[in-house]
Amino acid sequence: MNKPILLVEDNPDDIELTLRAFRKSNIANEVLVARDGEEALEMILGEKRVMPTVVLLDLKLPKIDGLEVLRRIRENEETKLLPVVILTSSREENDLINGYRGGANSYIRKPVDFERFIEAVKTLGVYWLILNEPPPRR
Amino acid sequence: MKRILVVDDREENRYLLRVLLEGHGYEVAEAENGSTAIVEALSVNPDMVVSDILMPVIDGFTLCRIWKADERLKKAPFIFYTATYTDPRDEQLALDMGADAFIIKPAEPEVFLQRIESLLTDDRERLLAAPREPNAGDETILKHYNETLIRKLEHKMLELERVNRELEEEIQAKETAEATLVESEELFRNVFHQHAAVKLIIDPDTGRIIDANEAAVNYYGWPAEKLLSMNIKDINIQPASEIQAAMDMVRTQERIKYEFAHRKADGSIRNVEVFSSRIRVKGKDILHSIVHDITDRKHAEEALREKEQLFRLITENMSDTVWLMNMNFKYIYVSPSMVKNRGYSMEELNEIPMEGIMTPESYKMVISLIREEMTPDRLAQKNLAISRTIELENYRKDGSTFWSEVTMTLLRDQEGAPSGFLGVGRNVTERKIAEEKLTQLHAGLEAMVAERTAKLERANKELESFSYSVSHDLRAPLRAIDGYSRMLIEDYSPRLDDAGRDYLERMHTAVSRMDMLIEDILKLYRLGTAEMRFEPVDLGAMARAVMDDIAARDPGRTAEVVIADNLAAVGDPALLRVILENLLSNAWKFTSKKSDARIEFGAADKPGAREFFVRDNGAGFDMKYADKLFGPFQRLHGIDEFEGTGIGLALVRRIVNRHGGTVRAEGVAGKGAVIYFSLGGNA
Repeated sequence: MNKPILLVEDNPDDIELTLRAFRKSNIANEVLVARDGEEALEMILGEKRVMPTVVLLDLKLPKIDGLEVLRRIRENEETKLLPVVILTSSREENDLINGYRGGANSYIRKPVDFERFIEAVKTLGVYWLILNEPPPRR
Repeated sequence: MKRILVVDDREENRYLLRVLLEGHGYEVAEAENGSTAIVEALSVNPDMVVSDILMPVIDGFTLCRIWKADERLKKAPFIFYTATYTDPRDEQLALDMGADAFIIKPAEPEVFLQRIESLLTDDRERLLAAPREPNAGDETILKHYNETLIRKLEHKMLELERVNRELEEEIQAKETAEATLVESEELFRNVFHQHAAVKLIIDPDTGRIIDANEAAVNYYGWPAEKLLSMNIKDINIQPASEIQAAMDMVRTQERIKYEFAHRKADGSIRNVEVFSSRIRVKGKDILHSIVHDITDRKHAEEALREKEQLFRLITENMSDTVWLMNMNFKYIYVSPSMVKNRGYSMEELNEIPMEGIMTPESYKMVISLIREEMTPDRLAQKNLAISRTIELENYRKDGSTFWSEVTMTLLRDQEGAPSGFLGVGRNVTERKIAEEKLTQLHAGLEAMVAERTAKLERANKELESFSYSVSHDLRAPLRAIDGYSRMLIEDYSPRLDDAGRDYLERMHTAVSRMDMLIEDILKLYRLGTAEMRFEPVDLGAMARAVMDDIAARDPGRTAEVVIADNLAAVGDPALLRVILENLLSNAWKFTSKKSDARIEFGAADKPGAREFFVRDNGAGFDMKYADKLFGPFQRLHGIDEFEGTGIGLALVRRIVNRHGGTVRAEGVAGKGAVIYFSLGGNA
C-alpha cells in the first residue's frame, strides 16, 4: 500500500490543478489535503495522525503559516526526517532562504503556465515517490 | 608810710625785695653797696635798712658798724638779710655789732614780712627810746669781724679750688673732644678717598671741584690733577644756571638727591644719581656729593616702561579679559576690559565672595577644578605647570549673565612656590548661544530623521508585503485561468469550434503576458531597494558577453556589433549588467527588421562625467515621445510589432539614477535610436 501524499494548500483552484497533475502523471498515491496550517499539523501530529511520504507545503496559509508548520514538523522527533517540499507561488529570496533554513528538502515555485505546472508536479512526484529513498522508520 | 632802704649789690635781689615790700605798703629806697647806702640813708632818712653782707666798696658788716655809730641813723633798725653768711658765729657778730635782726635767705615772705612789721611797730617805741648799741668793744668786734672774713676767705678759696678743678676737667674733656675730631676727620678723609663710590667735594658758590676720590678719578677718566682743576659744570651737561640752582638748594635742605647726566673724559654721557649733603668746614658750607651711575638702570627702566606700556596698550585695548589673583583668591589686577564688561571695579569684585560673581553651576565647576588641580601634592611640585580652561557663566553688576572661556594658570615665584593665578577670559556667549541653537537644531533634525526613517521603514514594509502579495496572490488566479482554459481544451475540445479554441489560446497568451508584467514590477521594486556595491567594471567586456547571449537566443539573425575598447566604469556589476541587457536587447529587437542592422556601444567624455551610449539603426522613435520613453510600461510600438512590457528603459533609468547618473535618448522614427547614460561621479 502506497503511503499518502499530504498537500497543504488553501487555494481550491491550486488544489484542483495539483490533483489533476497527479492524475495525469499516473501517480496512484492517495492525496490528503489540508486547507490551513492548523489542519496540516493535526493530520501529521494529532491523535489520528498519518505519516505521509512527502508533504507539499504552501507558505502563505490561513491560521498557521507554512514556515511555522515546517518548524513544528522538524521539532517533533517522529516527523523531523519527514520530507517536506515547499510548493509556492513566491520566488522571494527571503522565502527561499527561510524555507531551506527551516529544513525544507526542496523548494518549487508553481509556474503560472499550466503545462509547465503539470510538468513540475509530475517531476516532483516521480522524484519523491519513486526515485527518493525515504528515511528509515523506527 | 614807712620807708625801707634795701642794700644789695645784685639788682635782681633788690628788685625782688622792692616788689615784696611795695606790695605790702612800704616805700622802698635802694642802694647797691654800703657806701651808697650811707649817702642814700642820709638823704631819704629811712625807717629801716635791710642789707646784704657781701658787697663791694663797703660790705654789710662795715655798713652796720658805721650805721650804729651815727646818731642820725642809729635809731632806724638794721636788718641783715643774707644767703652767704649762715654760720651761727656770723649771726653773733652781726648782733654784737648792733644789728636788730639776722634773717637767712631765702625766708618765707610771710615770716620775713612779720619780722619787719614787728620791728617797725611793737619794738619801735623801745628802739626809739634805746636803740640797739654794739654790745662789745670795738676790739672784740673787729677781732670777730676779721675771723669772719678769714673764714669767709677760706670758704671762698675752697670754692675757687672746686671751680678750678671743674674748669680743668672741662678743659680736659674739650681737649679729648678735639682729638676725637682730628681722628674723625682722618676717618672721613679715608672714607672719602678709599670709598668705592664716586665722591666729589664741591664748592657750592663756584662749582669748583675741591676734592675727588680715587673712584671718581677712575670713573670720569681724567687724571686726578686735571679733575681737581675742573668745575662740576664741565661735567654736568645741564645748563649752568640749573646746576647753580641745584647747589643753592643743598644749602637750605642739608641733603638732597638729583638725577643728572654727566659727561666723562671719553665723551660718553652717563645718567647719574647724585646724593649731595652740606658739610661745614672752617665756617664755610661745602658739598659732599656721592655719584651713582644709573645708566644701565635707566635703560632697564626705559625698557621696562616700554614693556609696561606695551602690556598696558594690549590689556587696555583687547576685548579679552586678563586678571591676576593672589593665593587668597583676591584680585590684584583686572584689565579694563573686565571692568567694562562686568561693571564692577576691582575693589568691588574683591568685596564680593566668589560664589557671588558666577552662577551656582559655574561656582561648583571652579570648586571642583580647584580640588582636582590644586592638591597639596601638585602645588608642591615646583616645576609642575597647572593650567586649565573652563567655561563659566558669570554675573555682571546689572544682574545679566555672560559666558566666558577662562584659562586659569597657577603662577609660581622664582623658588617654584605658588604665588597666584593668571586668568585670561574670552566672552563666548554668542558661541554658547549658537552651540545651544545648534544642539537644539541637531536634536530637531535627529528627531526628524528618525521620524522619516520610521516612515520610510513603514513604507518599505508596506511595499514588501505589497510585492509579496503581487508575487504570490496575483499569480494564483492567473494559474487558475490558464489551468482551466487548458482543461477546457483538453477535456472539451471536440465541442469547441475554431473560434472557441482561438479564444482559449488568446486567454493563454494574455495570462503569460500578465505573468511577465508581474515579474517586471517585482524587478523594478527590487532594483529600488537592493543594496549596491561599487567596484571597477569593464563595461566593454560585459557588453560583449551580453551580446553573445542575445545572439545565441536568436540564431537566425545577424547584425554588425561594434563595441569600443577601454569602457571602464565603477558601479554595481549586477545592476550594470541589467542596463546592458536591456539596452542591447532593445537594440537587437528594434533592428530585427533591418537587413543591415548595426549596434554600437561606446563612450564620450563630457564635462563632469563620462557618457556611455548604445546606438542602433533600427525602428527609432519620434522625439516628441522622448519623455515617455523611460516611464514604466510605456511602449512606443504595438505589441504585435515588437514584443516586451515596456519596463526595460524604466529599469535602466532607475539603475542609472541609483548610480548618481543621468540617462537620455535621441531618435528618428525609422532611422534608429541612441540611448546615452552616465554613472555620476563614481564612473
